[in-house]
Amino acid sequence: MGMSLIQHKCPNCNASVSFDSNTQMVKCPYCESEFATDIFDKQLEKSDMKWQEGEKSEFTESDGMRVYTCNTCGGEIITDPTTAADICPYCDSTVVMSGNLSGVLKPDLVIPFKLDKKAAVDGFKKHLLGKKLLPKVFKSEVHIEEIKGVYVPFWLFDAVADASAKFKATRVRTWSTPNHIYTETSYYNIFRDGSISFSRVPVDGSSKMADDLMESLEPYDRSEAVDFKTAYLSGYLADKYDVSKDDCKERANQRIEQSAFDCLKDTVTGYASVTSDECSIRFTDSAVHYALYPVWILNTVWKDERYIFAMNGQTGKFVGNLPCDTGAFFKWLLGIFGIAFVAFGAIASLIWWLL
Amino acid sequence: MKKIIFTLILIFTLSVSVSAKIVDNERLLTTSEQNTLSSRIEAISDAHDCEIIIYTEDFGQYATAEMSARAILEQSGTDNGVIFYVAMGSRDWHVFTVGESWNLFNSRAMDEIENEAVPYLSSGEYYAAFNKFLDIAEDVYTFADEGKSYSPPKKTSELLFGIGVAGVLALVVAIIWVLSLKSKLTTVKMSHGAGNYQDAGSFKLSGSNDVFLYKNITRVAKPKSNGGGSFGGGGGGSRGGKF
Repeated sequence: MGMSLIQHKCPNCNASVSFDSNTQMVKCPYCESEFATDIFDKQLEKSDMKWQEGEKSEFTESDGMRVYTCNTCGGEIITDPTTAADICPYCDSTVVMSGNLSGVLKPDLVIPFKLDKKAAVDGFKKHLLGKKLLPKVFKSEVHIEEIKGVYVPFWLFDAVADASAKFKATRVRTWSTPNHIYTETSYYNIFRDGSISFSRVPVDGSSKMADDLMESLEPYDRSEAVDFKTAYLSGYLADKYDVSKDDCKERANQRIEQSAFDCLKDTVTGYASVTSDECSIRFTDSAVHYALYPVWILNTVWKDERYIFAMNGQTGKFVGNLPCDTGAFFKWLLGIFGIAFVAFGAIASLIWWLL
Repeated sequence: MKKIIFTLILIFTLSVSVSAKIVDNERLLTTSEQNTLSSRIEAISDAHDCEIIIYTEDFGQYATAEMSARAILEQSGTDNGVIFYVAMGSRDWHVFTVGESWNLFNSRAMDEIENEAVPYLSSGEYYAAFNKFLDIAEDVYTFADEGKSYSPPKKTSELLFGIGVAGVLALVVAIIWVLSLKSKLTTVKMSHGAGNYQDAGSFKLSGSNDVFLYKNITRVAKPKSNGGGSFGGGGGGSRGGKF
């Protein structure tokens, strides 16, 4: 597969352009001109001859890494085979490794970044607010400016789930006579069948991104997904998938099955207790799409422990586990205990005195 | 001569009946203990114009301890008094009142006798049991003279128990509070299901069947209250049980 580098140039001044999340347009940082994303597709169609495919672009494979030559400054960019877009360390231009995006690997959809780096930094600061047990020095020792915008590859699963479930349920009735209390328990078998349709259930297709971190960022507003264009990647990093859709199906199946089961269980009402017995799901009208979703990522090491934070580049939801200050934990425990003990003790003494 | 003997017998019987505030047929008390208790009874009776009797025997003359206690108290001829009756053979105790004492020995007084005096009977400390009974009886009549209903003395052990409960509750509250603060540090978790990606209005229930299998009926007897007086107005007046 031929690999090539695509660097979008400003039609006015020929400088490297990048995708602006605020305006959702491609912007030139030098002449400040703004362009629609599809203009660069039109450019590609017309200026075929200007692409440097194969002849002028070189790459070699060494120890599992790929080497690309930057078309702007000639610098060599070494990256792993799954990277689809990167920043040239020499001239800061964005380069898109089209070989990682073309043909069968080309994404069907992309949700463009809606929030910029400033919003990501603000989101991180807000994430640290109000955390009483967070070590105070943590905020000052984390390099927030190293936060990066990355398009993460996702597999999106569509399916119509036909579900059948069986439950066991009980109804309880009590009454009493002067000498006894009676309890009547009635037992039932409950059967439910139904169908539910799911669209674009995401499962992350990158082994470099932790699944729980990516799922914590949900939900994404799938109505804002657009057909993929390379212009959206300008200014951001991007990876292609390295976990196949077949490997991701298991997780998609689990999630759809759980939701289908919950829908059926919600229809079992009027019982004192309901326990599940069996459940079977069949998928029809299933489809899989490949998409890139926007994520702001910050990796940091603090006291020899690695912490990773992420922000949904579309909705602004910020997640990431924070360290706990053990000293603060016990101080709070003691403090709350003291206040509660004084309060409850006063109430107990008052009751004792009054009775 | 016969007249003299008859007169002496009459005087002796009367003196016995008048001084029979403590009738210890089971010899649970020593002479010294009897004398002490007797002095206390006399002092309380004189101060509050009432009759107090402590009576022990092997088995009662009547079907229940309550009936025996009542009969003995009525035989004494008093119109205001209380008896603490103990039947060692059947391990029954009963407190019965008559006259104004019926209202004065309210449920709190009876609770106090049952909780503070009766346990001494169980452990064989009969003098302590009767002494405690007299303490409570004296308090009942003292409260009555002041125009108040009987209220048991406050116990430090109850206060300490209350403070202990307060400590446990405070610890539970503190742990829950701090754990909830800690949980805010953890925001990364796998999603539950795919509810956010369900197409609105797409759920169709195509089959629904609830099948009744069988039913079970269980019956539990209601607990009966132990020793509640059958004539106890508002729980006072008469109380007994086993020890």
